[in-house]
Amino acid sequence: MMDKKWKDKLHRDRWIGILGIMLCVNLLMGCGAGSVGETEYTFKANEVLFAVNEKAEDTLEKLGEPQNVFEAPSCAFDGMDRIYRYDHFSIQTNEKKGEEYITVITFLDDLIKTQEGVSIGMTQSAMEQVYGSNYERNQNWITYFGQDTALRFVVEEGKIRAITYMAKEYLQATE
Amino acid sequence: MASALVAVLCLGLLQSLLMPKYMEGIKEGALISEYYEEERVAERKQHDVLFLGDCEVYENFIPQTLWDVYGIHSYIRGSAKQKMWQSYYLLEETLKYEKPKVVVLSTLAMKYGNPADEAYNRLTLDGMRWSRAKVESIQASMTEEESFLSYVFPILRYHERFDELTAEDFTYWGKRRLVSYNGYELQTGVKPVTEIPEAQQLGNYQFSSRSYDYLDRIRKLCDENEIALVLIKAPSLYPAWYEEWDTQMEDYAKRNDLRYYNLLEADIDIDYTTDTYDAGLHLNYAGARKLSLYFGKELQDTYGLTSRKQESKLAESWEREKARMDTELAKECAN
Repeated sequence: MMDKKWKDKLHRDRWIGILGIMLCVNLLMGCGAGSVGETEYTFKANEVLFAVNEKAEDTLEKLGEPQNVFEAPSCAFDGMDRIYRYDHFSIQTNEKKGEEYITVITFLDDLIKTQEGVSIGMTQSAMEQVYGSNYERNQNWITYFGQDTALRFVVEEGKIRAITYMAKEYLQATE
Repeated sequence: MASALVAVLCLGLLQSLLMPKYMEGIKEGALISEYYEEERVAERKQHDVLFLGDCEVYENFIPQTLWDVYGIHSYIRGSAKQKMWQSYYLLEETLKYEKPKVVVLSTLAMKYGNPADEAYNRLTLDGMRWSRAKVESIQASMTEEESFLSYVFPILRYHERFDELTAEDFTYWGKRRLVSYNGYELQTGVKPVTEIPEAQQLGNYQFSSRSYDYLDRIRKLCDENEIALVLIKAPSLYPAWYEEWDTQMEDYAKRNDLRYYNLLEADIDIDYTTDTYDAGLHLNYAGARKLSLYFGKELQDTYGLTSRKQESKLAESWEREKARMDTELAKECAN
C-alpha cells in the first residue's frame, strides 16, 4: 500500500498539473490580437494613444491643432458631429449628452500603421497574420470586432485599400 | 372598478407628461403626427403630391412654393432618418386617407439595410396613429434592444425622463402647435460650405436586399393605386452619395420605367455659400425655394399636374398657411 504521504503528494501534484494545463490553454487562447469580444482596438498617432468610444476632449488636446474641422449638426438631435483632419488620419466625433466621443478613426493614406503594424497597401495575408482569420466578411469589407469596437479593412484584389476604427454602435447605426 | 379607472387615467396623464413634446427643441418628432391635422381639414385632404423620406425631403422641398407658383397641393410625410420600411408603411397608411397622383421618394435611406437607431425610430413611429401599418412598421424597425410593448406603452421608454422634464413638457402637456409647414421644416440660417470631407472607400456598395424589398413594395403599392412614383436624391453635399449608389438607382428606375432625379446634378443654381444652413447637408429656405421651383416645373411638365388655384376653399387655406409661414420668416429674419 502506498504511503499516505506519497498519496497526498500524488494528489497534490495531479491538481498542480491540471491547473498548469488549464493556465497554458488559457494563455494560448489569449494569444493573437483580434480575438472577437476580447480585444478593444487602440490607435497611436503623434505619440498619443486613443480609441473609439473614448471621450474626445483629452485626445484632441494632446493631438494639437488639426488641419481642419468639419462640423455637421447631428440629424434631429442636439449636438454636432465633427471630423478632425490631421496628417494621415481623421477622427470623427459625435456628441452624446453634451460630451464629445470618438466614433470613427480613418486612415487617409499609407503613411501610418495600426498599433499592430498594418497599413494601407499591405496584403490581406499580412493582415491575417497579424489579426487572425476570425473576422466578418462583407464583400470587400473585413471587420474584426472587439467588445465595443471594430477594426475594419477594405480589401480589394488581396490588398488593403482602407482602414477604419469604428465604435460598434456607430457601425450598426450606419449600415 | 372606479379606482382602477382612476389609476389608468393617472398613468395616461403621466405618460403624456413624460413623452417628449417636440414643440421647441427637436421638432422633427412632431412631423409625422401633424399629417393628421391636415387630414381633418376637408379642403386639404386630397394632395397631388406626397413626399416620403428623411431630412432630404422635409428640409429641401417647400409645399408652399409648389402651391404659390404651380398650384400643386402637396405634403411631406418625412421624418429624421426615415428608413425604407418606414416609408413603405407610411405610404400604406396614407392610402387609407387619400390617393395622391405622385409619390416622391428620397433614396438616401437605401443605404440603411438593418434596423438601428432606436431614438430615430421613435421620431417616426411614436407619431403614427395605431393601425396595422404602424404595428408592422414597429416590427420592421425595432432593434434587438427594443420591445414592442414600449411602443404600446411609451411610459416604459420615457419614464427615465422624469428628472429631465423641462418647461416645454408642461407648456405643451395635452396641447400642440404646428411646427412644420405641410411637413416642411423651415430653416433660415446660413452656414456656407467650406470643405466637404472626402468620401470613405466602402467595402460594399450594394444596397441591401431589405432596402430593395421595401422599395419594390413601395413601387407595387403605387402601381396598384395608379400613383406615379418618382425617385430623388436631394442636392445635399454630405454625407457622400457614391457613384455606385447612383448607378443602382438609375438602373432600378430604368428597369421599372420610373424617373430618378439626381438633384446634385440638376441645373438648379444652388449657391452653397448662401443656400445651406449647415455647410451643405441641407438647404435653407432660400435653397429649398430654388429646388422647389425647379422640381415643381418637373412635376408639372412630366406628370401633368395642373394648378388647383381655382378651388377657392383650398386656395384660402393656402393663404392662411402662407401668412403663418411669413410670420415665422419675419421672426427668423429679425433674430
